[in-house]
Amino acid sequence: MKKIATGNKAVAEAVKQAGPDVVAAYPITPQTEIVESIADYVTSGQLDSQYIPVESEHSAMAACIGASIAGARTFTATSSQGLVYMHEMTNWVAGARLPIVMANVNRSLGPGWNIWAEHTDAMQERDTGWLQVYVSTVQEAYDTTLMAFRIAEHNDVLLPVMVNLDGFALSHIMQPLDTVEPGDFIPPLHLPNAVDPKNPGGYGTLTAPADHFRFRWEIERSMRDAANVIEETHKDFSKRFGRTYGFTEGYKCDDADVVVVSLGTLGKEAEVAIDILREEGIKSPSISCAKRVSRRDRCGCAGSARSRNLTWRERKSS
Amino acid sequence: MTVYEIRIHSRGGQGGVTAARLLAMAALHDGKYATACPFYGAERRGAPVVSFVRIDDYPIRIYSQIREPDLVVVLDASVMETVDVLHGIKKGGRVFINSAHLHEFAGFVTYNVDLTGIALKINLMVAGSPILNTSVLGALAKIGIITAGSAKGIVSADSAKSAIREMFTDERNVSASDAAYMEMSA
Repeated sequence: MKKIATGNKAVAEAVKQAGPDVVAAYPITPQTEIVESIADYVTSGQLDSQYIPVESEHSAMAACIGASIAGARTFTATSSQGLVYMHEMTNWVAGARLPIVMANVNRSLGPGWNIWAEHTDAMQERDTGWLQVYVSTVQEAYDTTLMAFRIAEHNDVLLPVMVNLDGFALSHIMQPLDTVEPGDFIPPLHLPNAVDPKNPGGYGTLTAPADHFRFRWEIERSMRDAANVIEETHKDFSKRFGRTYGFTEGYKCDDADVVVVSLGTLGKEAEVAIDILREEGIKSPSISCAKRVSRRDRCGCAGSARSRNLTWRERKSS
Repeated sequence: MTVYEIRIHSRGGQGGVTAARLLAMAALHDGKYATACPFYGAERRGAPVVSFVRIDDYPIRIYSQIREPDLVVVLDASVMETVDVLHGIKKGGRVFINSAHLHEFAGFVTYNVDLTGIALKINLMVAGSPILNTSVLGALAKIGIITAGSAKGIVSADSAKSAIREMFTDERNVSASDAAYMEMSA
């Protein structure tokens, strides 16, 4: 069904349809509409979920960790100061291999105090082991949030996914949104090693350097395997719902003299700028790159910091 | 660049953002693409605020605020005392003002309907204030009739009604929109 919705509302609708067991969140501009809408869905019975209104973002993610370790599908949303405040916990999520999905509405960090869009908040999370995706339209915010649950919870991945949308520029803009009936697009979550009272075990115990290295290596390997899962998820999404996404999106790149590399909504605006420049005879296409990719892919596409993952991907495609 | 751009001036709490949303919804009913957004600042009740609508036959790839609108809509004429509502408006652009009197601006086509009067007449109020953001759609739909062929971005009367009904159950909103449509003069 086509309607007009904000980026925030699109994320909330997708979360409603993904049906998390637990949502723990703390409001912050410009993200508040997401958790406010979810709270409303829970209160009105549209979403059968435990909504935990906590006293801070650190606690929000701590509550999500507890729920996720118990095998619950878990969601939260934050922005800016909230994200950096929960940073200790975001590390724990990836280290504990918990497939939590989080929407982060990109906003600058203070001081100077500023509530508008900037990617610094998410960039500070690059090395935590979260998969990051940057979206550029309201529709993409919705579609990506749906896909994020399937990708995060896939047994080859089991890593958290952060869906990033530009503060106000996307969170508050109203655009056409076509919602779908996801059906069995997101399979039920079966978390291996979930807490089982009948089979008690230790979680987050002390690990010696050799074991710690092994854990980090496993995260690295899953980050690489995620590429296949993302591709497969995109394909199935396209087959079922008719909208196609990739790791990156190029625009008039073939005969480019200058390439603009961007994340989020800037890529769409760059397309307009490129059309104008081309009319003026400058071949300067945009590649609105890394719209839905992990940290390593993004570095590769940007043409800087060639990573091992990119090399691996290249080898695979050749 | 064929996108039709509308800037709405109002005061915080008067529903300028909802008016923008309704226009985008109506455009969608017309089979067009549309985006709507508020000005992102420290908005507050009673202060002059702006919101924006873009309507096009193609997907809209611009997210920024509108600097050169094709149409300016003023829901509260008193903001004109402190805000230059004509700022940046395109040459030959149009201005609609909620007012019982026609305001003339050299070089611009100006329209007016007393939306406040319509709301007061049928007691279409919320928290003691007249509702203006639904009736304005009827007035703007009439501009499409008046300027047939040249105002491609203006929504149709049928779509305006559909959008209003999608968002509000009080049928007086549609009556107000109809009344505004009738009162708009060519």
